[in-house]
This record gives sequence, structure tokens and C-alpha cells, in this order.
Amino acid sequence: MEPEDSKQEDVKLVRGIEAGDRAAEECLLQKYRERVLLNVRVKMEYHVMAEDVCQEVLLALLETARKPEGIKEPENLGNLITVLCRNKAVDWFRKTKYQRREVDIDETQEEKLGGTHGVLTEDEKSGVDEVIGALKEIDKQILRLKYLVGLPYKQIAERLHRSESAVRKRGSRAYEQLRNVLG
Amino acid sequence: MTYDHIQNDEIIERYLLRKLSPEEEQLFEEHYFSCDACFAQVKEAEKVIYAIKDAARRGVLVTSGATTRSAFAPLWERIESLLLRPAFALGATVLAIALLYPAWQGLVTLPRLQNELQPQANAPSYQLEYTTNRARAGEGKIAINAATRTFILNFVLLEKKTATPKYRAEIVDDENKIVWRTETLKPVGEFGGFSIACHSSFFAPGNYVLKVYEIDPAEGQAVDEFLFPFVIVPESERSKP
Repeated sequence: MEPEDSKQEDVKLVRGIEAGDRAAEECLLQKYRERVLLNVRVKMEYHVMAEDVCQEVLLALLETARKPEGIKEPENLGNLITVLCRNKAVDWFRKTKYQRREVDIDETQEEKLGGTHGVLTEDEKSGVDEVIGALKEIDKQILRLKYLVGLPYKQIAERLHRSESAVRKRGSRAYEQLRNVLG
Repeated sequence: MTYDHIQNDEIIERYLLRKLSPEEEQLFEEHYFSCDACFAQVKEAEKVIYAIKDAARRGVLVTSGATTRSAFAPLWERIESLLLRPAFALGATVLAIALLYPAWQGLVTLPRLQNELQPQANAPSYQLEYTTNRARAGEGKIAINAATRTFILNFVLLEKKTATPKYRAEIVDDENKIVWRTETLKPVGEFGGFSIACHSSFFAPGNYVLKVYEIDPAEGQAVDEFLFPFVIVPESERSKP
């Protein structure tokens, strides 16, 4: 769906929810649940509690939408939802600040990696292992620097003494191979 | 936020790795909340990044760190990518030919020409007899062996119609096509004879006529014409009994 069509749909859904239409609520939740979950997961660095925070966001969204004129600009619903996600994530960080310090570092790492979103199947894992095993050393370096260290291609190119276009091409190729095995 | 911006600035990966500025993050989130295509890409990228992190954690993505190369490597890669472009390949081919041709000329043609310019002992000299009658131009031709490298054509003009004439000469082939020409033919020697040094490689075997025109200096027009027929014969025919 094109962004403009999506905004028009949001306006209709919000008007429906205001009027007490349950189907419109379900439709709105279905439309945004996945996006909200991803958004919160990213903000919470893939913490296992992301799912709970996602539910809080969706609940707050519905409560706001149910109020008459609760959502002033339904055509900018995306903006409102991102604000809700940020606020709920910040709330969660504040609430758990002291608890999280006591968590073992390895456990935190495990949570960040796993979270609750689509754990890889055994087939996908073996496919990923096969692709990575077949990569050249330079491609593995690029993947590490790009996705584990988080460097942009330009800096990776400087670090590896290669042209940015070559690094970008290699990185994209490795990414595509992984994307293919992950379906 | 445009599609090009998202692709070129690696927005999706940077978003998932929390490398965007708060303003960029806000803009991108607003965008993918209403753009199905971008959200699909974010989901894909999230899974790939998760898989990479998972592989690193399991020790699958290990690197030796031996990929650092010399500072000249980017230059060579750029040349490699250029060579694969058809326009560049065509240009490079033309340039190579443009460079190879003079090299070939210098290595092959020039030495041959230098060899031909060397003095030649026993160069034959031929005395041509003229006729002013075109109908009789085929009679009394002399034959010049094509294997003779250099030969000299000598002739004398006993008649002249102007007091201080100038001369123009040309050599024409069987089809009356001019193969050589000069506007400044002058008599040499005490007897006022003329001579023209020729190289046999200039002439294909066949019939030729040396035409000499007497020019009236005042009018600039030809006032008389002398014809000297000769034949260049191949070595094989010459050597037949």
C-alpha cells in the first residue's frame, strides 16, 4: 500500500473506532501490531520485555482513539504511534533501570540477540552457516564491521583499504545470499 | 524521506543498529509506519542482522583479520571495474591500436624504408626516347625489372617552342591515372638532359608513360608534350628465356 493510501485508511479506521466500531479496532491493531513490535524491539535493543511494551503501546493507542477527537490528526497516525513507542520504551527503561544492572552481561546479550521475534529455524541456521562458511575472508570482515560493529560502508572501505563501491557490492551480495536462505 | 535516501544512506541498517540521529530515526519511523515496501525491507534486514549476530555468537562468523591490503588496492579495483564497462573497453582498444600502430611503424616499416634509402650499387639507368605522337606511344617501350630496387630514367628534349621554358612531368599508368607528378622539372648537366630517380616498389608491374610538358612561362600553359613509354615487368617474366 502506498503511504498516501495508508494515511487515508488510517483516517477511516480512527473515525470508525471513535464511533465504536470493533472491527475497525481489530483492523488497526492488525495493521500496526507488527510495526509497533519491531519499533519497540529496536528501541529496547531486543529485550525480552519488548512484547509487553508493544502491548502497552497498542492499548494506549486504542484508548486514545476511542476518545472523541482523541486523535487530532488521524492522517498522521504513524507520528503518534512512534511517539507512543518512544514514551513507553523510556518508561520501561526508567522502571527497570536498577533491575537491569543486576542482570548478568551474558544473559543480557542473549536477550538482545534472541528477544521474542522469530527465532531462526534449524534449516535457516544451517543455511546461514553454509552461506557464511562459503564467504571469502573479506566478505566476513565486511559483515562483521557492518552488522556487528555498525560501521557505514565508507568507513569499512577505509579500514580495509578498498573502494567504497567494491565494499558496498560485496556487502550487498553477502546480504542477499543470507536473505535468500532466510526466505 | 525518499526511497533513494533510504537506500543510499543505509538508513535501514543504521536504524536497526541504532546508528541514526534522533531526528533521522523519528523521520524513518514515521515513514515505515505508512510505507509497506520499506517496512518489508526493515523486517528482512532485521532477520538478516539477527542471523549474523547469531552466527557470530555461535562462532560461525569468525575472521582472521588478514584482509588488510595495500593502499593501491582501491586503484586497481577501480581499474578492474572500468575495464568491464563496454565504453571503456572500446576506448581502451582504440587507444591500444593508436599506440600499437606507431610502434609497428617504428619497428617494421621504418627499418624497411631506411634499408631502401641506403645507397645502391649498380643502379640501372635507362635512356628514354620520346615521341610527341600519342598513337606511337606504345612503340619502342623499354622494360624495367620490378626487382630492381632503384632505377633512373634519363631523357633529353631536343626541341623547345619557347626561349626559357619551364617543364612539368607526370607518370600515368595504363588507365591514364596519374601516379606521380612534379611541377618543377629542370634540366641537369651540361647537355641539358633530364633525370628522374625512381623506386621500383612504387610501381606495380604494368605499362606506364612519362609525360613531359613544356610550359610557356608567360602564359602558364603547356605548349608542347613529350611522351616516354616504359614497362615495369615482374622478375619472373624478366628471367624467362
